Amino acid sequence: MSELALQTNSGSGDHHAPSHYTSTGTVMGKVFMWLFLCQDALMFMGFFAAYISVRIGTGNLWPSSGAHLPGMEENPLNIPLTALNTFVLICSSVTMVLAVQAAHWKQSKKTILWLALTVIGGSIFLGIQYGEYSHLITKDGMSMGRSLFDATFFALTGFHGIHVFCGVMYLLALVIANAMGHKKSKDLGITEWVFKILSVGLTLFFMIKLMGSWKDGGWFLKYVLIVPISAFMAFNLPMVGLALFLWFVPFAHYPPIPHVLLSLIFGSLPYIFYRGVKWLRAREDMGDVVEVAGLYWHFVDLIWIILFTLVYLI
Amino acid sequence: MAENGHTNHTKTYLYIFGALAVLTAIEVGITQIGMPKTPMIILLIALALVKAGLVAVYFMHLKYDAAFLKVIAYSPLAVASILILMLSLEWAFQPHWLF
Repeated sequence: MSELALQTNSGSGDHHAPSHYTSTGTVMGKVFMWLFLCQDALMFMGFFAAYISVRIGTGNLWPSSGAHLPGMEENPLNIPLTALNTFVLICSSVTMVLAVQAAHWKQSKKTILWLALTVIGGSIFLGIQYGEYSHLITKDGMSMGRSLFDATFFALTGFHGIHVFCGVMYLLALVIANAMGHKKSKDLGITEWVFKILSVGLTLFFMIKLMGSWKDGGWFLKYVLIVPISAFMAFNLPMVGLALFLWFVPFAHYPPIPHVLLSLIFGSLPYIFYRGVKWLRAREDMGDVVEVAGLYWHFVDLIWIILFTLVYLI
Repeated sequence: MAENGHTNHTKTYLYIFGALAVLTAIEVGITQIGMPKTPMIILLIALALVKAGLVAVYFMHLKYDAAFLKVIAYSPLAVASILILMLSLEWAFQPHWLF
């Protein structure tokens, strides 16, 4: 059973290099990214539908930026600031699309420049959102449990913000991969071990810190069972561990779950980032790789366009 | 200029960028002039859909993609239409609807 039999390629001629094209002639990464974006769109649609449903139910009691009717609460959201944020995200979308074009033309320096500008745009967006959040939480007293307005606002913008953060990480990995140049290596180098040990160390650090704050758990459960299991996961299968633990998100109220989730997610970041860069550097078709990243970034922008209108403007 | 079979779309991208920026400004403007609520909401949603469409068709290259990929990309719209139908019913049957 050769590897070739498992590939649905359109015949690249080279028997050793796996083809990145599906039998339809479309880049495999693009098909997978679109499928991922479809299910992500469904997730956002659920959030949007819940938000609209709640707003229909509350009618004029909802704080709105538009026509101020008597009895309507004052809207705490800062529209000009968020409009600026929208503009920043649109700009970063343009730099992204130019990066895709430069990558297809194999203009390495221009690709790095446009990608870096996109990363900066995304970071500015996140910075402004951080400022907005801290103002709303400390000055306006908003919190997830205070009202439907607050809950839907944080759920929608927070979920989108996580997407922007992942996008910034994704593009940063691409910038580094492009800057370091193409390299194919299968062996575990010393750098890989450094990142692996760093990740396990970080996971353990977060874990022990968080376990200390969990008053109800016994020491045996905390330090003999949960901490070593998390360290094992961080060492052996950070991505699988993460994917498994994402299933526990609905139970994030129950003590050991959020501790394990948070420490695995933040602890594994350096190693996952390293693996990402390594994987990207091994790819020969940088044009397609950047294009797939572009699809993700534009989708995040697209969601923000709808979110900005529905949550802020209406 | 066409290198490696990829045509130069820079001009198109900049036009789309301009359109997105102008539409955003119009959207913010609409909320400030004190329009009646229902037409304002309809107008804002229409503008947002136009902007989202521009991003999907031009920035996400749907215009230039194979039909096979377009089918995948547009498939969530089917679910969206069901949601819109359900939300419209909810809107229609609200007893205290004041818009």
